[in-house]
Amino acid sequence: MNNKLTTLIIIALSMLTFVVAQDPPPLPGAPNQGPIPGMGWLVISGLILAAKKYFGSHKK
Amino acid sequence: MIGFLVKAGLFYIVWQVVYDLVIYPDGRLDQFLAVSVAILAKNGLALFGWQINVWDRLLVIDGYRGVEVLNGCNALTLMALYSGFIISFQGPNKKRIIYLLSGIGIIFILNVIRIMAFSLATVYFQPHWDTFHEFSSFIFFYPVILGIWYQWTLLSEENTQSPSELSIA
Repeated sequence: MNNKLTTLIIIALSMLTFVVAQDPPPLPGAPNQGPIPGMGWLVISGLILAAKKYFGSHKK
Repeated sequence: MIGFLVKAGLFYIVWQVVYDLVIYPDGRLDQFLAVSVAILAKNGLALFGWQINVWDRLLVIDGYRGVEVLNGCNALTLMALYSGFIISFQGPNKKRIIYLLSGIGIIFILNVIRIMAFSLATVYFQPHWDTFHEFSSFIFFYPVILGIWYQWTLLSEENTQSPSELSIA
């Protein structure tokens, strides 16, 4: 009886590691493929430059 | 102005389609730009006596964190953006070709210098590396590109004004 109890306790304790085990950490995602930041500002600046030249030269 | 916007819009649509369907799946142009930038940055730093290793796109100064030149970091998009303006804005065609080729070359060289600076940043100010990366394009690329664009608009202005000046004289 005692042996059975000991075996049961050992089995339960070893099963406990499965129950409380955590998920492995997630795999890293794909790296950011657009690492030249601020291109929007360049586009806006280009548009302002073009508009200034077009409208400025039309005024003359 | 509307003509410029239409041309520029069409250029970027065509560029995006060609990039997504041909250049990106093929991968060779992105790979070539990234690897050549990494190798040239390594050689540039070696000139100043730095012990630096390069594996494919990855640059590592011994004992410090590495810098990887990703697809978005190889300045191909920036070259397309630069070219779009030069192609769309009116101007003389012969000089347009000169501006296109020299501008793309300048962007490539600036990117090599930028990657060299990133490698040195891992040594001198690693805690601020992300901030430096965030603002690097405003330091290395944008002033130069805007300067060339401005020169191009002046050139096109001269070109469109010269016939009327001649007729006045």
